[in-house]
Amino acid sequence: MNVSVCGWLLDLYEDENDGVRLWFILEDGTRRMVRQRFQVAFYAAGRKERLHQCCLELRGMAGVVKQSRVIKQDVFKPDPVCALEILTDNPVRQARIFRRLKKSFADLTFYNADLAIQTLHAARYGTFPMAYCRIAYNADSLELETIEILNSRWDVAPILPALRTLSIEPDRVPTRETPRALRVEAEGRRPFRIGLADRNKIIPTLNRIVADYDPDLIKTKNGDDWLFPFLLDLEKDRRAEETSAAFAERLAFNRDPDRKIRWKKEISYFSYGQIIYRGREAHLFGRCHLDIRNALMWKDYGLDGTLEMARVTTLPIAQAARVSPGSGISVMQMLTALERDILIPEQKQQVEMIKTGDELIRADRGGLIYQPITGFHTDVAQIDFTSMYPAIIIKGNISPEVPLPDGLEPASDELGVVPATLKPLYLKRVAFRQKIMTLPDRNAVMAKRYAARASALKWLLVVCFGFLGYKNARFGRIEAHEAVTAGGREILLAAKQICESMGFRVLHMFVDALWIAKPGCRTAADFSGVLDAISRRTKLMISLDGIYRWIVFLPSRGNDNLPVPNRYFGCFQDGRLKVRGLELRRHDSPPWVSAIQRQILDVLSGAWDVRQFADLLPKVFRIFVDALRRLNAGDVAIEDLLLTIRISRDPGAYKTPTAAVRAAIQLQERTGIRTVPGQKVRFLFVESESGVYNWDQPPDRYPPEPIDRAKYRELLARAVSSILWPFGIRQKDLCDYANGTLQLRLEGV
Amino acid sequence: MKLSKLTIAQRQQRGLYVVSDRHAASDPLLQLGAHLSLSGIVRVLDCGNRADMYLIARTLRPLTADPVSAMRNIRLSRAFTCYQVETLLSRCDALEQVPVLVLDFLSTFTDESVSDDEVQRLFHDSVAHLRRLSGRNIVMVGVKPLTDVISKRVDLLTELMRLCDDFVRLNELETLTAEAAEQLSLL
Repeated sequence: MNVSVCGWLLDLYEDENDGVRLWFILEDGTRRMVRQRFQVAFYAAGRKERLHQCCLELRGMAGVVKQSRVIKQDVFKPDPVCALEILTDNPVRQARIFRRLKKSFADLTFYNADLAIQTLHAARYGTFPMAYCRIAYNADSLELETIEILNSRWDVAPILPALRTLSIEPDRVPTRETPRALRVEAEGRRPFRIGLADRNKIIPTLNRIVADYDPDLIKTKNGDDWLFPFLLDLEKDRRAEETSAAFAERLAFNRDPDRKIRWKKEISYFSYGQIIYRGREAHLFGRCHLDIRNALMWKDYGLDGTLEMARVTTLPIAQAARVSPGSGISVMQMLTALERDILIPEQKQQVEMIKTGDELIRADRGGLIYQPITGFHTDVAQIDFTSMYPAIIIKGNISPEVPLPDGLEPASDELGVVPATLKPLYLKRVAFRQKIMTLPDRNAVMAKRYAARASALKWLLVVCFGFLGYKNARFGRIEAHEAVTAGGREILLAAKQICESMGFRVLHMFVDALWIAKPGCRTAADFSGVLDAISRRTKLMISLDGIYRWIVFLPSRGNDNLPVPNRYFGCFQDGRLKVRGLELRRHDSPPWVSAIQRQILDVLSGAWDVRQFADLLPKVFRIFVDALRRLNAGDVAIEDLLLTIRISRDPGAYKTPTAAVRAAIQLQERTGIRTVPGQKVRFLFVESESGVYNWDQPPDRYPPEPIDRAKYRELLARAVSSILWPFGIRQKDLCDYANGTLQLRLEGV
Repeated sequence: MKLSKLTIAQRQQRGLYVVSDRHAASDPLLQLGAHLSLSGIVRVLDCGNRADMYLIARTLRPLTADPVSAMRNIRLSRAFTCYQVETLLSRCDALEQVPVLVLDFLSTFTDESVSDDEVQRLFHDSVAHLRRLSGRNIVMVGVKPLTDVISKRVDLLTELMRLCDDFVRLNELETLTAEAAEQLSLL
């Protein structure tokens, strides 16, 4: 008997027997799994005789449904290619067949061979996480008959089901102390603790909670690196202990009872000048496990942003929470290519076209930076182009397969894969921003949810430009990357010309933003003319980020005469502060130093001009003196002195180990715990031979040595001197004062 | 740098020469490229994003009144993955009578996201292209020592050393002497 129902798609994964399994949250609240047959095709191209040999090898191979010759478009080739299409009966077997072929026919070019099942399904049926669907299935076999998607991933206000969320977290940070209990909370119910002392009760209790509440999301802290490994070890131990394994209950966190937890290996990767570490991941079937400590952008946009990311990228929710936005944009580009029947190479082999030396100098320049005029300025407006690079990609139709634009004039009318992917994303983000603007209270729940979703889209847009030049991007091309920055430079220069022609002084320019001032201009209306003129000329959206009462552009630390970009602090007219490049923005500053710097800036935010700013200096100095007094008296909480620094290489690879590396080495020597590239090290400066104390070692066995107060005094003096620089107060003077070797007199202190 | 340390016979117009230092001998090779560009086309294959054209421009400035023309003699392509390196070299197979400089050749072969088998296959194909290329041209390849972190792939350098016509390891402080460059530019 066929049943027709409506519901939201929660999870989708391949299955060797069924093809695909899909989990839905039905409108009546039922969670339903259905099966779907799913044939997958991939392609091979290359020399004729090798393709022939490949055909022979495939003949009679289990899972191969059909082989045929097809003509398809390779994104990097001007003419279509003749390829061998290999149709397989099942995504699991397709992956296996591809691996086998790759070994024997490494010289062939493979296409569409390593795509995720979610991407293939999205291309064929239009599915995405939380898609609202009408499905018809056989009630006995649970075989899916039809699926119709009733909404779009581009909907700004989609109706979503109420997700059941179960939170589980240890009562202590596992890397530092052995947890003694788990804190468990099902949304809308009273939280409770499960003690870890009675090992026999842990798994049965958790299983009972999961079975009873039947969550869609299991949200954990340290789930990937501690909780799941701990529970699985426990399960193993108990089964070994029990004379009859039947008495030892298995961990039953998967909704799909046929599945075990799937592990994804830890990785370190390079991203935007940093080595990032992502721990191993525990994935569930039929529900999602989100370890918020291993979710890259959780702090930035939380569950709302994660769901938005999953919807637009079609990545499974648990994956969308963990992967970088670059992976998201990559999947979206693949989806666009699949929808256009363009082949996706398994390995990009296209190389840079020949450039002469002078051409490279002209092309490879990056964004335009106009160094700031250092010092204290008042009545300055910051104006920013809205998503400048994505807008240039769309406007200039910049894509690897399309001829590059002449300036910003597109060479072709039909949008290429990259701009076609970005355009709806860009429009959706603009729509979110407009929605937020119409809400009366920007701090209301709804506004915050829109802001989180807009933030997820922002990150996707931010990385799309970098991805054009990323070596492993399937749709990357270095010339396209250079064309975008060239467009950006032209636009910024045009904006500068307009500002100057209208009597504004340009104080600083940074890629897509300008800081401009004109005597007497201090309201939004004073700047609307220049914004309109820039928009008209460049045909890009530019907006007023804010008008500063005052702003201080700082020079390089090593040379007062050398301005540096993006190192400033300022106060908007509504009293909000904006800080870039100062200690309080840096992850490697101890919280104590950041807090003092913030406190000082808060005091200075009361000033409207340079005179009032100067008048507040005694208060600032009082904060500095009090902070020193508390430090010297040992009144600062030890956690507030912690530094957190990411290491970029294996600790053994450093010739001159930094403090963070010394701390990583110390941890390994004392506990055997290895810090891998991309992982963060938490440590204190202490009075010892190594000068550091790694925070993640057991304090009962290795208690910390006395704090190196002189070092912290130096860090504080450095942070305070950044703010007091316009008044000629230098780090060395503050440091000497802090160490008692210099006397300073300030009126009122 | 004592590139003259290489046993390149006078007027030798072909051969595969490997130069190594901590920075893949990129600066000396680029300086050499600048000298060579004064007398004709130089093909530069950059496999480690090391093509600092400003260095070439600075090198050229005292040598010629028209550095731009010399810069135009530099013909450069960059490869960012070992797949691209192999493709790039395969497309150079037909090059004749042009000095070829390969910058940081091994860099992409240490990418841990590419399997060892793939690296071996691509490396051998790339070296085969280099050998073919060096049958008609002089090919200078810059490499850096492979560290313990990528110990599994240390053999790549050994293999390259075995297959080249000569190999020289530079001291860090060695710089390109005008005489050495001149000698090479005569080749």
